[in-house]
Amino acid sequence: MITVHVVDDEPELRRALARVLESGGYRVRACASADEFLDGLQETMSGCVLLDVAMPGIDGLALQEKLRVVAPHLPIVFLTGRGDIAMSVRAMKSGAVDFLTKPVRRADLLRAVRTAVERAEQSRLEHERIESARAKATRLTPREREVMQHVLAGRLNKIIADRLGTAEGTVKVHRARLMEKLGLDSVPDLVRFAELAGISPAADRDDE
Amino acid sequence: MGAVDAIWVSIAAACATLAAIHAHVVLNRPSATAHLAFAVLSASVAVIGLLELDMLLAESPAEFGRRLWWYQWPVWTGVVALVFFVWRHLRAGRRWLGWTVIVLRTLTVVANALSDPNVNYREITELVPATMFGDSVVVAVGRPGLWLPLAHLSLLALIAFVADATLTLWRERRRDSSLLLAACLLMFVVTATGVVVVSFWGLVRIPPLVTLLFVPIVLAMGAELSRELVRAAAVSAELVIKDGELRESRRRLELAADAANAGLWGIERATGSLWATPRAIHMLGLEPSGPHRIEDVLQAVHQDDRDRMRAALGEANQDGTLHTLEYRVPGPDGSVRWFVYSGSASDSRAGGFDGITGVSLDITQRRKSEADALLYRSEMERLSRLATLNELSGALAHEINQPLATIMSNAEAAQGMLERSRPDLDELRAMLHDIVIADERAGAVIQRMRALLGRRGLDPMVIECAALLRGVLSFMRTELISRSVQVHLDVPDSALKVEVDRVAMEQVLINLLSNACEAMADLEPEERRIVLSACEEQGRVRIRVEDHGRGLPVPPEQVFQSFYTTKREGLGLGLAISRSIVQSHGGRLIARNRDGGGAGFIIDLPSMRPESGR
Repeated sequence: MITVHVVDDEPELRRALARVLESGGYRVRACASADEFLDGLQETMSGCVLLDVAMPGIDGLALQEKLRVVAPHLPIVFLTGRGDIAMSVRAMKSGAVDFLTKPVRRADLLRAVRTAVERAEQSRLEHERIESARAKATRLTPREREVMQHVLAGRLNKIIADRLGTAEGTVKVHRARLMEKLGLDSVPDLVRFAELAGISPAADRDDE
Repeated sequence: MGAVDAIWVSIAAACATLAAIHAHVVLNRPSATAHLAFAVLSASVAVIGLLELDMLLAESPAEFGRRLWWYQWPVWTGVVALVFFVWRHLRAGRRWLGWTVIVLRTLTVVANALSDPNVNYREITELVPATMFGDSVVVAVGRPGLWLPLAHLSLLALIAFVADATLTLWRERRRDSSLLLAACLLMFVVTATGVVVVSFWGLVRIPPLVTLLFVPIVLAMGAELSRELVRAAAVSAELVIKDGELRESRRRLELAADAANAGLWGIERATGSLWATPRAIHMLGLEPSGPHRIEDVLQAVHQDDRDRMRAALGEANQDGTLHTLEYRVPGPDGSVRWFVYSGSASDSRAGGFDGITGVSLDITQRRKSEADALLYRSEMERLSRLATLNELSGALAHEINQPLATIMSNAEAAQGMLERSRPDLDELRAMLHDIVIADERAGAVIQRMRALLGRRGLDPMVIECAALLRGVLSFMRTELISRSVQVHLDVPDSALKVEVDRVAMEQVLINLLSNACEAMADLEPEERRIVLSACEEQGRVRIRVEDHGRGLPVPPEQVFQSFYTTKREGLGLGLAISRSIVQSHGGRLIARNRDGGGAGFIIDLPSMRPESGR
């Protein structure tokens, strides 16, 4: 079950939002202040934060700043009682998923939370793919990595061998080895992998 | 005409003149009985003089006898008048002695009326010629009358009476003109009696000289009269001057009163009649031609002010002081003018006017200006409240939207719950309870906003200080939160009460708190602290708003000037209006810089603590 962290200093509203969210199938962790939220925060926590802008002590925007460091994966949906455009722009630029104004309709709230959670899930998956690509890339030898970068630049084995000052057969062996290590079948797959792992094609040489 | 004629006629004329003058005094002043007595005395002597002259020039004993018979009547009036003159003018002489004289003389005159030829003679035998002042006169010779001793007894009694009176004056040391007059009178009665007794008993042949003997009295009285005349002339001249001065001073007073647009009027105590300058008559809307009475004045003023004026005038007549009285006079066109009357009651002991006098001024214009100023002030207060609300609008929107959000979320959650086959009724009840609470909260905020927006007069009521401060903090809650300002509330005693117009005093506090927030905007959020406290000091309630901001300019007083502001969008009226609101509650608003930095404002109000006696 997905958890929504509701941070609002007013108990009645906290209770009401919890009721709406629970009816939408979420689990609610209600916090009366930013400090209470941060104190109970664990790294394993996921879900979404529903955050009141105006609170005593650390307000919503300050908490957002803190969360970017402490829990960047937690999506934030803001709730505000004053329709302040400048404030909402600032919040959205800092990565807020949505900026809702009170009073909020149930459908809007649930949609915003759902979007936030989905977006977080997507970003989590993306993150995982990148991580695994990077992990796989570390298994390559420097020579294999060099060959891969030339392949990504679209060069033929003969030219690669010429560049590396080795035999074409050796390049073929390296190429087959790295494809096997990465579990890839085709050059287009290799290009997509390189994007995820952050490996760039080898540069052209000036003398060519 | 010989010397005797001349002397006797002159004396008679002088006496007649004196009589006429004193009679004139009596005619003007009927109470002047002394003057009446002297007038009668003088007139009597004048008649005596003429009759004596007749006797002196009589040609037959019968003629002399008849004239002597007539002679007794003016002697009677003269004696009676003399007794009264001594009593009234000299304020001396014994009662019984005086009355003895009058009774004896009256018996004499009655005896004279019954006698023939008169009381003096049973028979006049002959007239003997004699010489007086070179003129030839006659002296009667005959047998004395039977009742003559009665006449002489009355004269002796008269001597005794006058002598006693003179002695009294001497003893009482009233050695002025009265004593002189008494001495003259005594000399007159003694010598006259002497002459009469001596001549009638035939010891010496002298003609009757009573008139001649009255001359010193004429001279004494004449001297006194002339002194009085001189004095009267002086007084009269002074009176003319005084009258002129009075007229002039009155003219100046009326001129000054007119120039000041003032009307002078008063009510005489005894008669209740009105004395007033023409302008005052005009101010009261009365007919220019008098006379008017207090009832006309009361009728002229507005019916709602009538009882008050009647009471005030009545009180002034009793204790002498008239409190300033404001009253209205309705005009014929339905308009109403306002007047103020101030004056005092004087009494006749000091002389002069006995009653209330005073001056009334037309204050209609002043009243109107006051009303305009009041209207203007309340309008400015309202504008300043609008400005305050405008500053708080974002926070207030939040303050209302917060409960609305609670309501909306609860309502929709409840709707969702009702879709279920077996809704949780306890949870539904809890939701509805939260909805009611949130609704009340939103309602309270809106009500307070409406109160601040409305145009209204002051309506002071006794409220607890703590409630006032808490109410303001709850209203400002979101504003304080969004500005990251922490307020420390310090109200030690819940019994601390003030009598204030709640909305107006909230406006003042909101203003001060809002300024304090503004002053600390540059500080780190954790340093933005306000202390809001209330305590009782020397029978006064002091509410303090203290911040840690940049402080006030020096001298701090200048922040109360209108249009003084440090805010970019401020009107610069908040503190000026706050001060005027506090002052209209009988309090003071003081600004000063705190020792540790920051500004402090003190609202100093009268305490409403029950045991403080108010």
